Amino acid sequence: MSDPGLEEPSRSRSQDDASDVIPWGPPVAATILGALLMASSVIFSVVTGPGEAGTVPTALPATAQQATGFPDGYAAVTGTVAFRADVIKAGSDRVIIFVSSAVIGGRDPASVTLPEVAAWSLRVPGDEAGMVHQYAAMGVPGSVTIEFDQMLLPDSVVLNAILPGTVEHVTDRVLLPGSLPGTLSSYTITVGDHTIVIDELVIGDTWGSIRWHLEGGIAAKVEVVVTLDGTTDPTVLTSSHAALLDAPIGSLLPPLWSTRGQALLAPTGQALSESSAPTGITVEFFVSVVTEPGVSVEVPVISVVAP
Amino acid sequence: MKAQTVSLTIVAFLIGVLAAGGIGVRVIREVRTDDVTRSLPGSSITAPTYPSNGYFVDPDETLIASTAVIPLSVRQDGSSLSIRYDLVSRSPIAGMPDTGPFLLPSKWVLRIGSTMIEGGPADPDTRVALFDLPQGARAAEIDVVEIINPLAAYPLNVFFGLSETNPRVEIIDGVSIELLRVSEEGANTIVHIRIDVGDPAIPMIWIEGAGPGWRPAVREAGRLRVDLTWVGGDLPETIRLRAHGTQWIEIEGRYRVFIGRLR
Repeated sequence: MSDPGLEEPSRSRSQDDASDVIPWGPPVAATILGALLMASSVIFSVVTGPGEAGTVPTALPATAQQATGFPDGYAAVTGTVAFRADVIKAGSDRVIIFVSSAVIGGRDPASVTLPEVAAWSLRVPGDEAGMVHQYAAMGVPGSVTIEFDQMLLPDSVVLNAILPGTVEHVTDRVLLPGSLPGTLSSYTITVGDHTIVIDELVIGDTWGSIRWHLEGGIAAKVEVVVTLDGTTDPTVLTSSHAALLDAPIGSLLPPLWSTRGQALLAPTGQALSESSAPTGITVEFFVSVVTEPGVSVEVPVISVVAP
Repeated sequence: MKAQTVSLTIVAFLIGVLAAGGIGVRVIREVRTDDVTRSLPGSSITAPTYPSNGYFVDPDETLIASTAVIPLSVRQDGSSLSIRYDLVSRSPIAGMPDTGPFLLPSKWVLRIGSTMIEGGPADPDTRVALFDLPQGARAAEIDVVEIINPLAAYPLNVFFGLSETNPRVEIIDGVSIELLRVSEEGANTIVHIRIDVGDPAIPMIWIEGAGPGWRPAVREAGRLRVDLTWVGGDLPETIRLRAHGTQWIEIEGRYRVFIGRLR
């Protein structure tokens, strides 16, 4: 016995199913096709890279603070220190860049030293310039000013910090006659395949100056110590910046890596009294040359100020 | 194919695209993030050490470059409002004397409703920003406090020349060096220089001779004057000098200061 009241609706539903059945083939195929198309697009994007606009990570995204442990816009140059070019000022004939640094979150800044940069390069599409000078000051530890004597268009500028790779050290000694002022010019010091040229060294009784440049190589540092021999209390002059200044906290830090330099020489210690005539002059050069570049890190540029 | 089937097929296609797209975006992000970090030195690839609380120095800090501006107190006395703040540098200073951060948030602006009020510290050493509020205004009504285009100190190193015909040179914006006079002292020649440090005063500046013939510079205590001793014979017509130290550079931008917890 069947209940016609129940049977009818049941049969009716069965008939509807038979007439309105959904063909799942096309939707399933469409889903797979759509996924395949998007997947191929993703694979293409991954293989070809982010494209022209994304190849240059000039500034870290806003979430970089969380991701890297540095303040916004800083690019890591070591595991603990990051750099950022806060301002680029383009003058009429030169570009000056003001760089600051930041210590990674969780580290005491007093326990971290500023990493040395051998050289900085500035690139714009179709052109590139190397730095002339970089300098640091004791009053603003952690900041560096970089000077380029080539005027590059500031738009889409890319700044790179090149860390020291291979560094070679050479000590060179020269003996000069005792007559003052003593001079030495166009004197060369060979370091591997590279040459330091002492353009001019002038030595007085308690003063002196040195000017030099590097031929080949990435960057160099040159320190000189001059001893006026034969005096009862030999005068020692040095280009060390600490000795040049007359205050407990001077303004200049020891010279950073450069391709040329000039400095005054000053007596070590406080005595400035003139010495008697020396019988000879001993000149010692302490030279370091970056012969091979290390890692190059792109440093984000925050602001460009045109002339 | 029925219209229903066509619609279903289109929807299914879109679902497939979106599903694969969602996964794809994550893949691209990961790959590109990896691209950026790969360009950095090996030692720079570190696990995040950013404090989990989300700040470097203080929850209310405002980072300007790598210096944190931290509001300490807000005090109102009549129409005079003062915001006392501290500056904490995040620059690496191991082995260096603690000279303190050289940031000068010289221009502050606060807004109450539609009224903007300018203020700022009196000088670089005063870490108090002062404001004159409109009559009847209260600190609790302040909507926004901002630092505008703050100044930061950076190393300075400039070569320049002075002469009798050109005795004053502006070596950088607002900072001039002037040749006051030249005197004889025994066999030496003394060149007297004055430094006009501008406003605000430049943090630190030194003058020395450039090239052979100069003894180290002497700075007169408490005065922005320098006497340079020339021992190189006849003084050149153009005196070549070098200025070094620090200089103020403006960092363009508006930096919001958070004083909500202090009012």
